[in-house]
Amino acid sequence: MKSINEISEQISRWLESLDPAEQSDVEQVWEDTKHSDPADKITLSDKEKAASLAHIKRELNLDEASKTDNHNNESGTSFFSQRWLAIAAALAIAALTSYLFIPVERTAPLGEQLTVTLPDQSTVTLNSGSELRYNRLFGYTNRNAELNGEAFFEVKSSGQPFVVETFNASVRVLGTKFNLRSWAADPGAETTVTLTEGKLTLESIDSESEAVMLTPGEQSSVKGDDTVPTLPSPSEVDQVLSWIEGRLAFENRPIGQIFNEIERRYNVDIDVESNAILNDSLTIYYSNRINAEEAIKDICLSKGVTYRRINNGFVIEQ
Amino acid sequence: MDSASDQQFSQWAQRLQKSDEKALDELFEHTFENYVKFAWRYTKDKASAVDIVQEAFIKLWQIREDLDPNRSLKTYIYRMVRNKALNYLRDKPDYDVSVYDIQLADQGANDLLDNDDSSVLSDKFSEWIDTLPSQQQRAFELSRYDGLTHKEIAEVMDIAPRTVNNHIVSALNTLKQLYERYKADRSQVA
Repeated sequence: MKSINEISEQISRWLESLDPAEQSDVEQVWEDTKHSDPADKITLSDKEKAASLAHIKRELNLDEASKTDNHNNESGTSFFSQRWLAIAAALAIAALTSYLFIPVERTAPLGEQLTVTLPDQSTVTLNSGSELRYNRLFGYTNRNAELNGEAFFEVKSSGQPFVVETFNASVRVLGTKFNLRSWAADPGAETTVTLTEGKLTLESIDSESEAVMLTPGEQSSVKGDDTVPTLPSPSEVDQVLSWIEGRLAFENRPIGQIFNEIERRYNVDIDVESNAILNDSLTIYYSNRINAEEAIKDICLSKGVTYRRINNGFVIEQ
Repeated sequence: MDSASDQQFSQWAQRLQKSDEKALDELFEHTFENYVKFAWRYTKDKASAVDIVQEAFIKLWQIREDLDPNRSLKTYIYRMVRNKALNYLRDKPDYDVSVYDIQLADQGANDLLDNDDSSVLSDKFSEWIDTLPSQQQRAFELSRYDGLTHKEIAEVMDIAPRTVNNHIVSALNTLKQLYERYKADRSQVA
């Protein structure tokens, strides 16, 4: 191995420009780094090397010079490798099975939307903070998914039913477009489905539940622990889908739910000093995109309360 | 680095060009492990390092007739391995942490505990080298561990020899400073 002075003329010149103490330190560094290569811990046995060379020759269709020498060895290991193969296959099946049962989870980040294309080419647009889960056999043995939050589904037609479950309800369709809102942790949580195209049925998760069938433009909800969905009624589809364009629209919604939606959509915190207003309902509809503060300001004005800005959010004052 | 001389490399290149399989065997025997070590510095994973070097050897045989006898075979292989390793890193999912990384991390933790081990200083150097900017680190490693000349390093890394020199001087300067600070800290403790 070369000494530091030998590695290049330029290095020698640089060394000469240093004062003697520094020079000896550099020499020390050079000496000590001789054994500091972590790759030195990587070694290959003769067996590993032989396997690599065999691999290379196989890929190149070259005869192995050492083939005859290894022949006995090979037949000796074949029983062993068959057993290995069986073990490896069993492990692979176990791994595959557990893999298939781990659901795929997709979550739209706060302040953003996420569009997911499912294996059957159906698409799901997730509103901020919403979570969609489906298993890995989706599109093969079933088309089942779970939603917590709000999403717009465009389901590709297929003989296989497409089923979305929420905390309290399930929606069954064949090929349609619909909006599904179901925030399990919201105050007065409910599942509301709005159909824009095709046909679907909604039922509560309760096994004895009766299903209702919706036609385009209609809306129905399953409230809390109810076993029966509300009767389908006409809805303002534009308002229901306004979130996809980044607009805010709330029809007769509790203020607690509205604040939660604003928190997710704009990724802000809203602290409410008095809970008194949270159960009040409110209808607001914006035709343009606005920022969080404009919305908060309007809500406060309508409810006769004030707000102040805090770091990344707002406090609603009494 | 293995004792294979430039002359040997140049002979192997000539024989490969004439499709001499024995030359491939000899080249493999003398250099394979060193190239695996080199690839490992990128991948930090033995299996993928082996795969990369195997691929490079396969490629080398496939293009044997086009080898330029006036260019160094040694640096040519280094360059293939480096490019394949960089592609591997580019395509590798981020979450794939190899068991070896974890072992190394554990080892690092242990080394901090037993200061009196004589290998500590060289371990310190490994750690410091790892914190150098990556181009400096690669140039330094090729110089120190693979024993390549600045000209060879320039060919492998596809940069000017002057730049190689600058990288190595900077690396040595940084290591020297770290070493001086380390010495000072130790004498304070003592």
